[in-house]
Amino acid sequence: MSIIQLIIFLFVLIVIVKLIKRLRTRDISLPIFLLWLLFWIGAAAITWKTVILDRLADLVGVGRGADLVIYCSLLVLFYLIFRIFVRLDKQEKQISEIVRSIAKNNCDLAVREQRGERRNEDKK
Amino acid sequence: MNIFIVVPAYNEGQRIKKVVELLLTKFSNVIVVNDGSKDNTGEEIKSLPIYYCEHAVNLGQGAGLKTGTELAIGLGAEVIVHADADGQHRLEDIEKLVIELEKGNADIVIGSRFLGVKSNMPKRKKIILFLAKLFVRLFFRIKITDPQSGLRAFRASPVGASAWPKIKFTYDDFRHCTEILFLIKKNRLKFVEVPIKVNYDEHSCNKKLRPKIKMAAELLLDKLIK
Ligand SMILES: Nc1nc2c(ncn2[C@@H]2O[C@H](COP(=O)(O)OP(=O)(O)OP(=O)(O)O)[C@@H](O)[C@H]2O)c(=O)[nH]1
Ligand SMILES: [Mg+2]
Repeated sequence: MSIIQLIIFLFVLIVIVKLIKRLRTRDISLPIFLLWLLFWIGAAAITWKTVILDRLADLVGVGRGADLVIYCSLLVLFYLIFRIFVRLDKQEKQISEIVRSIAKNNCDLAVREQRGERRNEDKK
Repeated sequence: MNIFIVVPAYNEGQRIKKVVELLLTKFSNVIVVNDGSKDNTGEEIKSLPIYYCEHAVNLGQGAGLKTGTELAIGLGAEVIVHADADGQHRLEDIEKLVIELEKGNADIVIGSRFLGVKSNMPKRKKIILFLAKLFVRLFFRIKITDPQSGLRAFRASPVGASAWPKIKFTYDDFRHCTEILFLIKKNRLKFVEVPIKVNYDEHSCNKKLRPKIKMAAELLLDKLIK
């Protein structure tokens, strides 16, 4: 077993332990837990028997297994970046709405206060 | 007519007071939106008889104008004027816009720096504004001599013919200028351009350049997607 394989196994082991912990505290639901578990066991299996990956690569028409991993990660990364952009945009809009409505409320209050004061002065 | 002047201000501490005082000589309703300035913009004008309002963080010129305009409408404005805080817009031009609007021939009156009045506009700025004109002409099919003008007046009576709901823009930054033109066209509003003269002194020439190409690209992208 090569060192890199060992590192990956350790990593997967830690992740799975964490997953179990989060399942116990009900941070994640059972289906999500199973999905991730499957994913990480798959990752471990591929690390164990790299031929699996090469077979997979062959199946979808990519030269080498390692290339397949890179392609897939790129896709996932692009998708994640897109998601982050969308979320950022949404949050920017929300912040803007909050800041603007606070500003308007404060100004309205100030106006009313001033008018109130003036009325009080009239009474005197 | 109940006229409100809406002035967005960002780090204008050096000049804001003079500008607002001048506005107050002719107009009694002035709204200044201090957009999270990092200088003394707020302190400079807080004692003046204006409607003062401030954003906790900097959102951009468009956001400032939107906040100010909504406040103005809440306060019963019938005519709203958007004007800059840096003293580049002249009082007489603002009055000219209001007079033109009150004639009733247009929903919105826009000040144009390219209708015959000579000014000391820097060459660089001229070229950029020419490109901007070409941009809205080509991609948005809008014919206007000064698409980036920050001086505009429109009707906003709470009852009756208010242009605001139709030009209520969504961009917080400088792109709102182009968006307003787009909305004018989409909603078939009538706009008139009035010649104005804008002062370009050292202060305005030394300011940081806006990311213009980026803004143009984003506008196009948004148009394609929508
Ligand atoms: N609310 C708000 N206002 C801004 C911001 N940046 C600029 N402004 C205001 O918008 C107005 C115009 O800004 P300028 O930077 O002078 O833009 P300009 O007049 O089109 O360009 P110049 O020819 O370079 O002066 C001024 O009243 C500024 O105070 C901002 O981030 N937020
Ligand atoms: Mg300016």
